[in-house]
Amino acid sequence: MISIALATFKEALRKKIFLLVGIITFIYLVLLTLITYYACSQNTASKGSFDIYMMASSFISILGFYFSSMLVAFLTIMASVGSISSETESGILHSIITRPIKRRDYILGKYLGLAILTVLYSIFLYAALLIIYLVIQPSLVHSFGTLVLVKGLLFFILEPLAILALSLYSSSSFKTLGSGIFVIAIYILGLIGGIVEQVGSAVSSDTVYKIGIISSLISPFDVIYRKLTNTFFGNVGMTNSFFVPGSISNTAPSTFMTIYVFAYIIGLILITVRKFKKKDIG
Amino acid sequence: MVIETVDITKYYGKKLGCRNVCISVDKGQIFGLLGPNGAGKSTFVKMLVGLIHPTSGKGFLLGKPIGDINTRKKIGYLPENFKYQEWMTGADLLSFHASLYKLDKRLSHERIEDVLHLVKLSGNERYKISTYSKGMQQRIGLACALLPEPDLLFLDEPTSALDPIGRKEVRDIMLELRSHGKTVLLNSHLLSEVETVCDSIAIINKGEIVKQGNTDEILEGKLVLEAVVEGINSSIINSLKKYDSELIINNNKITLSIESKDNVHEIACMIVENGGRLYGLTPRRESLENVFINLVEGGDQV
Repeated sequence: MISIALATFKEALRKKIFLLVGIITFIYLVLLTLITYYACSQNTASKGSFDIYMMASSFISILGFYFSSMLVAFLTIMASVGSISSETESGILHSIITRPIKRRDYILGKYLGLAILTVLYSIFLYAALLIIYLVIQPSLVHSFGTLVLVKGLLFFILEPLAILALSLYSSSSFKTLGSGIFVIAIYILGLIGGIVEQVGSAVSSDTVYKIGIISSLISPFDVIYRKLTNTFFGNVGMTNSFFVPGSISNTAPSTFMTIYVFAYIIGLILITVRKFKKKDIG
Repeated sequence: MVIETVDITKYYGKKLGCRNVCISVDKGQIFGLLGPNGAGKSTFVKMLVGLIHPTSGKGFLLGKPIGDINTRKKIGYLPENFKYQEWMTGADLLSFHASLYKLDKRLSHERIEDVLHLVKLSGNERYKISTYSKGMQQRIGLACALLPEPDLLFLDEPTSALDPIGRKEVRDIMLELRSHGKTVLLNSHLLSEVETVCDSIAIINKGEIVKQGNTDEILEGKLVLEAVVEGINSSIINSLKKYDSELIINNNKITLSIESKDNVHEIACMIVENGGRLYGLTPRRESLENVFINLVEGGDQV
């Protein structure tokens, strides 16, 4: 399992995808720094009330975390959708799984290697975000406290781990193109589901709310993101960047959903292992 | 037995892969698997190495059921579609496979040196696989399969990308392995290669084994006799037709199939007694190619 994990990690590092993500990340961080700086200096200049300043700062921060989590999702999907399918299609897999390793270890090794990569990237991006906010908006980030920051980091890491579980399932089931389409479709379903769920809650429509919940069960990635923002900004009354602050609140996912996300990851890995064990590699 | 299968069968849905294949291969043998495209050879090999799950039947490698993880430490496999991680160097690839075989670091280093030397790739290991020619990729694949000093080696079309010198080198490696008591299963389209190195052969057609046995046994009883005769007349031809009604006459050369070498002397006497002048009489074994074509075409007609 360790051999597979190491090879998977090295492969992701050596392939151009890593360089591409590195460039995108750099551009993104520069842009985010500029936007945050100008937005905050505008607010400070207007000398509005402290509440408005906090609200505006939260809004910008939420946007930052929102796009950062999307960037992590992008890296995770790009690095993993073809990780098994491309080896199956090319025949590389033939000489790997005929060696003395269990098929289970191959899947777990793939997961571990990619998980290390995405977790390291997530930590880097999270740290970069905090540094930007610390420098530009000291009052807000200082108010979080270490425990909240650590909790936030855990949710920030949890999202790529969940996407990775889905992506490996998809990669072991479909060809690379199909696998990519499947994972992106499920990811988008989660984003839409999250909005639908909040709309349902806002307009008190049980049916709409339930549709949102079902979408979140299939694709709980937005749930994790909302958990993250709720950890930071719940007290400001904002959990989603799409909505006007204060108009929709108290839509933070329940603890049950957090437990569900862990079950989702473990369940998907188990299903992938089981399916892959029975698969004929032609 | 190093390889033993009992009625091993594979269906892909309703499509037949192979059916009721029973083979037994002794230690220290080179076993050839022959068959036309789509006959089920690769399906059979892939079942043995654990890529494909049999629909029914059993198989044993080195005395253990197919798929036994510990047994795989002593099995090498060079796939037909040899393809390796192009982002790796040759050395990376061999280290990776050494780690899959769970070789310790010291042994792994030694074995990598040995196999690189054996497949004549020493000095090329620092280059990326993406820069390797097809032949070099096949050689590095063979090197990976040889890493654990396998007791059993599966070679699926191992020389398909090699030039004649490379082919001879691979044949020499197989013979060397055999001399050390190792067993090789060779799946190849190159009949001359199979005929040269294999101790026993199985011919598979439409998913079933149509003939198997020692190479000599398979070719035995299929002798071709070439006679150079002057003064060929109808008496000679009629008497020779008793041996082979489809004999071929080309100028002063008569080619006919005979059952055994015992017929040679009788035929010589018959030609001379009927007024022919005999200048040459050469019995030779029928080529594996002819046996193969007859078996496969015969099967197709049925």
